[in-house]
Amino acid sequence: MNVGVPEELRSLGRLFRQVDPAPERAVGVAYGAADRLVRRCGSGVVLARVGDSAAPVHPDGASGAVPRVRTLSFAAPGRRVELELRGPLAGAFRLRGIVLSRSGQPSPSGVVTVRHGRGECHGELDSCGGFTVRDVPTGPVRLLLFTRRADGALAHRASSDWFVC
Amino acid sequence: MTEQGRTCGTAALLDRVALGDERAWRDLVDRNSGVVWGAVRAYSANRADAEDAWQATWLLLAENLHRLRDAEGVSAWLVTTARRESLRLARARRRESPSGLAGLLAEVDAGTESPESSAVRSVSAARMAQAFAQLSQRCQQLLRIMAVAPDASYEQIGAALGLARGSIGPKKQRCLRALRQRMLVSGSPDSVEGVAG
Repeated sequence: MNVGVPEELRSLGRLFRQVDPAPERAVGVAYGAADRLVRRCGSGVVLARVGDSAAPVHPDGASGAVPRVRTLSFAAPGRRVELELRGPLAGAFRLRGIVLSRSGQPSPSGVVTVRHGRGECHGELDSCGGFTVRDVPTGPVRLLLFTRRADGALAHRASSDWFVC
Repeated sequence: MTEQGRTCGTAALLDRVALGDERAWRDLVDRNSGVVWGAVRAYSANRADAEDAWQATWLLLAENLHRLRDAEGVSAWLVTTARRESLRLARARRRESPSGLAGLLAEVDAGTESPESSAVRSVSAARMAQAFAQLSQRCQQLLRIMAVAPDASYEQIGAALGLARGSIGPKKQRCLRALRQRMLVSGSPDSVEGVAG
C-alpha cells in the first residue's frame, strides 16, 4: 500500500476489495481477450460507429431523455448501416436495420452477422438492404457485414468495434 | 502480477504482447484491472452492467492495441473506454445512478455468512458505507477509483472521470473532507480504523 494514502481511502479500498472485487470470471474474460489480439493494421474495413442514441449527453453521467428504442449508425467507405435495437425481452435483443449504399449504387446482397460472447447470430439482407437479427444476447457484441458479388463470392467484409447492448 | 511484469516497462510489455506473449497480456490486465474495475463500477448501476462494460473494454483493447501509438497512454485509453462504455450502457439500459456502498453491503448474501462477510457487516464498516453513500455521485466516483487503485496516476484518474488532471488533487481533498464530516456526524470519528482489514 502506498505510504501517504489517507487512512479513509485505505479503509474504503479494503471495503471495496471485500464486497466488490473484480469477479474472477470477469478477470478470466479479460485474460481470454488475448485471443482477439489484432497484430497488424489494415486487416479489414472498419464499420465506424458514427451515431448512438445511448451516447451520454453530458460527460459525467446518463442524463437527458432516453429514447425507448436504441438506434446506432455505422459508416464504412461507400456504405452506411442504420440499426435499431429493441429489447431486451427474455435477455435477448432484436436488431433491425438497413445497409445503405452510395447514391446510384444498387442495394448490396449479403449477410449481417452479430458476434457475441457465446457465438454468432445472422441476418440475410433483403432486396432493399434490410435485415433482422433475432436472439442477440445482452453483453458485448460486434457487427460484421459481408457483401456478395452477383456470382455469390465474397465482395467485402467490414466489422465494427465491440459495443454493449 | 509476475515479477517480470512488475519490472518491465509498458512499452516493452506491449512489444511482448504484440508478439503474442499471453503472459505479457495477463500482466497488462493485472496492472490495470484495479483502475478499470473502479471506473466501470463508478459508472455502472450494478455488477452485471459493470461486467459487460469491463468485457467490452478489454475486447476493444485487444482489437485496437496495434493502433495505439503511445505505449504509456494505454492505461488512460483503458479507463477512458471503460467510462465511455459504462455511460453508454447506463443510458441504453436506463439505469438511474451507480449503486453506493450501502447497497453493496446489502448484496452480501446473508445465507453465506463467513468471518469476512461478518466483518464487513460490522458497525464501523456500515458507518463508513453510510457516510460514503451520502457523498455526491462525483465524490463517490472519485474516491472509489482512488480507493481501489491507489497506484493510479492523476492522469489515469482524470481520464477515468473525464476531469482535468490538475483538478483531481483539490477534488480529492474536498471529497475526503466531506467523508470525514459525515462520519463524524454519524458519531464514529474513529470508525475508519475499525473497518475489516
